[in-house]
Amino acid sequence: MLSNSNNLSKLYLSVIEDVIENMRELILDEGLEDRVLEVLKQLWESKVMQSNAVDGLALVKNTINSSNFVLQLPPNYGQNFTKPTASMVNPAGQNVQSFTTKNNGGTLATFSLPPGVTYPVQIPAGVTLQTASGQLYKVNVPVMVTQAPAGQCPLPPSQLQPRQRVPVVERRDLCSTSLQPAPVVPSTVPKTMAPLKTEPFTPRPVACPNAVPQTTEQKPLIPLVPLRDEKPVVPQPAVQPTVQGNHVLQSEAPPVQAPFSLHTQMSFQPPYQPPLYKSESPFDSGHFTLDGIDFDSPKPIDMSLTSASTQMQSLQVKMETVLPDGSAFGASKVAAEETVRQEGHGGTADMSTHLEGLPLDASKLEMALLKDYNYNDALADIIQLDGPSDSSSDVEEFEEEMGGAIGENDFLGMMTAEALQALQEAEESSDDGKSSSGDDSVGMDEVTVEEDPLNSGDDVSEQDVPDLFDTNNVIVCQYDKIHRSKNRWKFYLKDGVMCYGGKDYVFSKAVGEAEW
Amino acid sequence: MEPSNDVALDIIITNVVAVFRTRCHLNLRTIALEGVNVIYKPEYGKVLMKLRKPRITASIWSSGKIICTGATSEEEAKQGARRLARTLQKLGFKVRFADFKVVNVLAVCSMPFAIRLIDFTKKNRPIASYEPELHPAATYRIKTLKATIQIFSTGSLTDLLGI
Repeated sequence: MLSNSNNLSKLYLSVIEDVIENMRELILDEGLEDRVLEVLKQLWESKVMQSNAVDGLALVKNTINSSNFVLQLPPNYGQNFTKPTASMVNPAGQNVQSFTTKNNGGTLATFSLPPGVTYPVQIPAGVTLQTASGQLYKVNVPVMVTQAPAGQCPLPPSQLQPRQRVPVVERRDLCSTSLQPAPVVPSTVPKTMAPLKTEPFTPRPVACPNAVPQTTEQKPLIPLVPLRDEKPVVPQPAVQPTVQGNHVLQSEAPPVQAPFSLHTQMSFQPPYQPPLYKSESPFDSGHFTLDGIDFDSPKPIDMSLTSASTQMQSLQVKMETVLPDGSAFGASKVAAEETVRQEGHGGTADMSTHLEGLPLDASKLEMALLKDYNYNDALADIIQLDGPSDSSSDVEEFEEEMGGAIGENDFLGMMTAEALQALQEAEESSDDGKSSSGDDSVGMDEVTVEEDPLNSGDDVSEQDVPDLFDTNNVIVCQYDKIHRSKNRWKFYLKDGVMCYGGKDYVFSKAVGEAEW
Repeated sequence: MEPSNDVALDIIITNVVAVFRTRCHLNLRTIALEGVNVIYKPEYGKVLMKLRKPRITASIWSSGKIICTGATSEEEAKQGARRLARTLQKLGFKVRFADFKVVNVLAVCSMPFAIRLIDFTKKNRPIASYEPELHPAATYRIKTLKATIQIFSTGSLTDLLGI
């Protein structure tokens, strides 16, 4: 049941995240901190893991966040992509096989890294990676995607969650058209990492430091935003050389927000630091180098982000979100977000609304990105496949095994009163009843001689020993048909979760037979 | 010709139907939700409760009337009905075991010989009736006993004793 447990883990995680995301707005409206949501999420996940209902939840969680991403390769890659479940990347290995040639648009092949992928992952040059959110990133040079516990550069576009927000193709084209011609298009560039980070739905506050789109001139950046939760994405120092020459996205400059702790945070990106807050030309085609690898600037997919004028803000926000340390990240993110909010730029307004649905970290990043990009409206038409339009079945659906119609709900309150009345009437008419019933009985059993000895019917009851409802094996589902013949029952069920022997099993159809 | 003349014949009671009242209004929804082994039939406005010990199926109406079927003897029917009332009492209803009455007893018997229905019916004209097009068995009614016996040409008898 490995596959089942995997799917189940994903399902549960997606449910958790959906709920958390949907709650985010409400929580924020209430004035509570996002911390509440984070705490809730942690508690929830820990409980699910503890219950052992799902195997390897933790594993899946990590791998999901870290390794699931959608890679779209142009068909003319001519490689045989191993399908996601295949050994895309062997866990121990580093290579993403079958990436070879450069990509040149065209149709895209999509695949996602199998959940079991562990880092580091090496992506050859010429690959266009698409994050779960739909952003496309073209890898012009071989990329090494690693999971960096600390101080390392994660490279992963692969860390995005499988959820896709946007069809890649559309964006890609648009992006390419918009981006490439304009070398310095502030909004577009890239914010390479940031979009990546934000797009993936991982609520994890993973801001890959690499996500900081360092852009060189006119080269498309490849976002390497790892969306792992815990793994801080820190661009390795090795990246520096090319980086230094790059303009930092945030170089947009102007509204450098004082509170940004990015400065300090950015320390992990040595090459980036200095240029970070300089008002350099915003990179639209920045060159981001990681591990000595040059990446093309990403083509921002998330065109829905409004192009904000304040790219600097976005940059700053991004930088803030990109933290080497996860914990620090969280703190800085909060600060960043707040600052961003405070800015109250027009662009940000859109961004914030847009980002509300995103995880905290991602939202910050995305906000930054949003501001920087000049997204075409066409890109905003990208379909969101998750969230409300998610087709995955819910975990807990209504239990309707027996036809439990609620026809008499309304009468509940009245029932007791009526019962009382009936009782009173019964008391009054008991004598009459007795006499009448006596007449009715025609030599049959004595009718009313012992009415009340029912109380002494202690012997009478029993037999309800089996406490059926104490069982731990439960199925929560919807029913198609419940059939009974004499004492033979047949169940045709759908869309449910069965907890059997402590394990959870999800099904879309279930058939059962039982004898009563 | 006469049904069950021979003592050696086995008359098997297959079904006993009894009714009784609880003298109190019953909330069918509560019974359906909290009761054990219940089937809620809202379209009919009743709840079926099945018992295992005496194999009994009881139809419970909200008015407090309960029809108990499936018992194999009158005694068993009464015992099952009391058990049922006890269960309802445990659910919280102030039930009283009132007006218990056996309404129907169904028994079957088999003759070791075949029966010529047409001749039989002719001889027992007013009492027996036979419509082969409607039903393959001749119907013999005993008014005094309020019994209806169905006689099949194979010699099988089905005796329905009703009140």
